[in-house]
Amino acid sequence: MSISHTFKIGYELMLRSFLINFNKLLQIRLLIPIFALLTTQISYIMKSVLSICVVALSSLWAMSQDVSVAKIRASAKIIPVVDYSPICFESAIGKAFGSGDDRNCFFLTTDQKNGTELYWLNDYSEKGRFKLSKMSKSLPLSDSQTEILNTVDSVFIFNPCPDIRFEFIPRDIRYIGYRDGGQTRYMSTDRTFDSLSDFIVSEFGSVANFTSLYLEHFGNAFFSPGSGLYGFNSDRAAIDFLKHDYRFNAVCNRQAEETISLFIELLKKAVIVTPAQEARLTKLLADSYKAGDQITSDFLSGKSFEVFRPQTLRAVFSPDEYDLIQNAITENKARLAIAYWRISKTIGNSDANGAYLSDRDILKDISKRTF
Amino acid sequence: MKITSLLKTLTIFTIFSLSVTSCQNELDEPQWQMPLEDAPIRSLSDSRSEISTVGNGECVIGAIQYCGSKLGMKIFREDIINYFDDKIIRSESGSILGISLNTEDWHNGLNHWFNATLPLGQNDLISQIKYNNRIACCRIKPDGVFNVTHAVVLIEVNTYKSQFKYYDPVDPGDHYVYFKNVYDPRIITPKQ
Repeated sequence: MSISHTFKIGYELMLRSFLINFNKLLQIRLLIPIFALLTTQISYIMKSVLSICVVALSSLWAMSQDVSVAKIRASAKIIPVVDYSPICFESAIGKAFGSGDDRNCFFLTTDQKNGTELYWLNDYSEKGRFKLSKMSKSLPLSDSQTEILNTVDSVFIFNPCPDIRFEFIPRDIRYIGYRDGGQTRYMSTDRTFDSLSDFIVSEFGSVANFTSLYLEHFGNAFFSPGSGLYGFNSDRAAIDFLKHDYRFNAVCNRQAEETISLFIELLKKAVIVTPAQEARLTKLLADSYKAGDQITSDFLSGKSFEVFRPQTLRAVFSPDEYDLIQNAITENKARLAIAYWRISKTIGNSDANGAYLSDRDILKDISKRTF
Repeated sequence: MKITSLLKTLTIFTIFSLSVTSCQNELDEPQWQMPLEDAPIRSLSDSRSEISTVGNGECVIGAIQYCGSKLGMKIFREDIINYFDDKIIRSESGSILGISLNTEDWHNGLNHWFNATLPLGQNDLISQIKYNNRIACCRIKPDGVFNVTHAVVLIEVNTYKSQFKYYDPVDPGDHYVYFKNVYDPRIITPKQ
């Protein structure tokens, strides 16, 4: 019995009870004045009843959403999205099918009335809150992959090297995997592989190449603003960072000498800079300083840019020192992104007159607060 | 007495029919609206970039195509990619990772295909969408999500909740954004 039927029956019983009692009241002549009063007040009673109905319906509707996801999960074929991890990968595949938790996956339903329908369970729009969306297009699989999807029970979308800078979206699907008699097989658009290693060698050249690429993706993630490793306890701390950051100084077209000085201070945190190196560096950096509107434009558009030519550092430092410096610069970029984002959120999207702010307006405002 | 009975019957019938109707509509069928164009595409930024004011990947493409479809125009993905060529960030394999756009690039890009005008302010934007049935292409910065902006198309207004309803090129279904999280809106009308 569905929730709607249960609700209808309960409601009918309630009304029937109300009618029986109401009839009894009408039969007692002494209560006619009360009846007259009730009649005149009936609109208020109606409103109350309607309000209760609305509240009840809202609760039941909310419950019905969860029920619908559960209903789909119980009746449809689940196609989980599985990211490769070197830690217990095979068991991770098994867990992807068995877990009742919300996770990024698809559901495929087939019935006589609606044919085949595809749903995507994801938290793309609201992180941590999974929603079920009906897809009007099928997955971007090849014919052979589609055949497996439609005929084999345990099929999963496979991300061998998830680009962790970005979130999964259906358009990115390239590979699938499936369970076949206790064995896991992997498919590219035109080939099927009996083992993961065969798949990796075919698609990435070698296990070593794959490992290198995989580690590079995750290595970069540690330096990304979203890693959680860089942050500020307060807006004041974020502004203080911006004030002493050479890149932000360049973006705001500050004096070259100040920007160079701040850059050298950053280098000193990564490597030892001798007085001779510092003197040489100061001159070279002054010659290669590239402030101007292009840097500002690139910064606002999210493009990567360099304030100084990388060759300048190579001319002064050893390769090992250069690598350490690059790490320091990369971390600095992450901090800049976080600091700027934090302060820009405090400014909002419009000025005191209600006019929408452009990104340059926001930069101007932050620059005023900083310097 | 007859009038009383009739009044009683009518009242009960009205309440009952309203409840049954809403039950039937809201409980029996899942409430997923079919997306007008389901084109799941990437939209997040390249983490190597300085800031992600322009976390616009292919969502920009999808948003432009959607605006075009509402104006009776067919805009091809390749044309959009060609237009933004030097601003596109690509992976080693050549797939699009993002499009680096500042406000000026965004404005000029939309004006390449449409007449994209900056509303006079929030009230003007609300009024244009609500009373003139306009749509607006904009970038949103959702609460709780760091360093990401997303290109969407505003299609309706809910003033009581201070929200716009928007079309999301990546995720089908109904989506809402608070007024305060809307950036760089542009009212989209046909190019003259």
